[in-house]
Amino acid sequence: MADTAELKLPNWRNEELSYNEILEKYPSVSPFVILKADILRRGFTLTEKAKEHFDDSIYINAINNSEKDFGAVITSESKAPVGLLLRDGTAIGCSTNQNEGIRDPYVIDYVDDKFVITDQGEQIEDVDFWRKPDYYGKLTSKGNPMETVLTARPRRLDVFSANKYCNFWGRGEGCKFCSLGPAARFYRNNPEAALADPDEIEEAVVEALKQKGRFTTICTTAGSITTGDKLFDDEVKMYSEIYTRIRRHFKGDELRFQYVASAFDKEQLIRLKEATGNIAFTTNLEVPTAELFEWICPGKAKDVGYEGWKQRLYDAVEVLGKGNVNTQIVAGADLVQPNGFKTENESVEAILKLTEELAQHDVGVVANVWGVVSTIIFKNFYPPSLEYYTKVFSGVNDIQQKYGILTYFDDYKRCGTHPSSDLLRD
Amino acid sequence: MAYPKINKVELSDTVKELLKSKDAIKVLATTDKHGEVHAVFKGSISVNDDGNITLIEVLESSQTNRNLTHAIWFNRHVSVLLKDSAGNSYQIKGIPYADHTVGPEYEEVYRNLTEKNPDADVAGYWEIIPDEVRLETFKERLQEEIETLPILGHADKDFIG
Repeated sequence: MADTAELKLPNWRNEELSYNEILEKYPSVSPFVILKADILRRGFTLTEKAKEHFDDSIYINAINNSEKDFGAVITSESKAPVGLLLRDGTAIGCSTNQNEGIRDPYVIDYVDDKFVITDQGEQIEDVDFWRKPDYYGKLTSKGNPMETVLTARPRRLDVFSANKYCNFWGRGEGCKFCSLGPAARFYRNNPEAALADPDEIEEAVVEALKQKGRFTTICTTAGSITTGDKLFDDEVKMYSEIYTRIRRHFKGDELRFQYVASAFDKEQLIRLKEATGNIAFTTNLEVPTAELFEWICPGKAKDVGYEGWKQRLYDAVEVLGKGNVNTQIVAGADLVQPNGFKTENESVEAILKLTEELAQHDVGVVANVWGVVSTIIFKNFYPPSLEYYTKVFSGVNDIQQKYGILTYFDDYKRCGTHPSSDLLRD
Repeated sequence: MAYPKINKVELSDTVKELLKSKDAIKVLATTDKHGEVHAVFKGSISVNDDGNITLIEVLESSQTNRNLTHAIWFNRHVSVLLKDSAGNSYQIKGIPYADHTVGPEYEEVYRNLTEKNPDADVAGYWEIIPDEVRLETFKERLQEEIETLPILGHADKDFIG
């Protein structure tokens, strides 16, 4: 069964500015990035004709993608792209069920021998899908399909199943917007089974990089592991085991592959850097105020705290350098009631205020569109208007550019999840 | 709206040959978001089977790459200047249609380039739809102006004393 949002907004077209109206009101913001934000917000569906032409020997089909094991891409469609690609190279990581049914989705059709994005019959843009890389379908030495340990974006390799369990979720203190954490329930009684095999990851990475010109980087993320001699030590150990294996296949002392992890302390980061050589680090604050952090991210708040999390970001810059450290804000989750901001403008102001504060410490910020599915705690809420997202993404990018915090490891080509950092290229 | 509304022009065989020529001088002129002009020699400029201009941008952070991005985002023109060894020159204006950064065509470009220069990279394999072609050869342009706007010339040219 597909995981879809439960809330519907039948009158949204009358209550919000449309894509075209936003383009007119914000003429200096990329139309491609605005379109991406709107697709992430509204989702998309394929016409029967588009499904007929969606060739899953060429494109990645969500039904075959291992990310479904971690809750991100679960769909009932037999043919469903895991992501879209626009003419300018903008990648949109979005399954057909993201925010499905809250607002009318965009419709992808097949017209004049090409796929096109349409809305109410109007052709908006040409579109392509994420292509299947050569290593998909090949097996690890343990007999598992390589795509079950290493998934592909258009230009990035993802180790998103390094640990499918999250200790915060395991103790009932998971982040309330998160669609990945609920998968933890499958591993509550056996967290060890949630850990990927570093040897298999290594094998898959080596095979994937035989395809010349396809991949620019590797990103690893996982559920938080709070155990160890001190907080997060076992998580540090997990990343260390993965990247020490990957490191031996690359020349040079430093790797610029990204790990999106818990807020490690300075000693842990130094240890990780020395063991792996890897320096691109993301640890997510998620929301723009301490009060919301305590409500929305109770596990993180209890173990580290909001100010503690920020301090660890500042420490990370000391260890890893400016441009190598950033944090993500899940824009829109801070508007959930009863404790969230009462207006969209209050949220925009708070996010930009936090972005400026972090920028003064050389910490980068990326913002994304919140995706609602039925498995999350905040399942009865919805992502805000397109105008809200346009303000957030352009405002965050303006601050990044002003302070020269160029976290290219999270840009349109390497990541593609965050419209704010897609704007970095202009 | 982002969808490009471009009145594509068909390039003549002469222009296509010049675009493909390795001996021609090829210049790409773009503008940034503030309207500042930026021109570079771009030997990789060519033409594909669809009659669109193609070029390889090797540097992700280059001003050219930023300007091409700005042009594709906001439907702004870029200009390609061509000149052959005989002095014939053309200006082609167009709007970027695609920045290919993935796919078989891109990977072929990447492999070909990195086989020649292992340190090089391919930031984007750009495709530009031409919507205007002008013959810029001096002799041709001079004759055109004399015929269409004779008032613009100096009086002494026709002065017989």
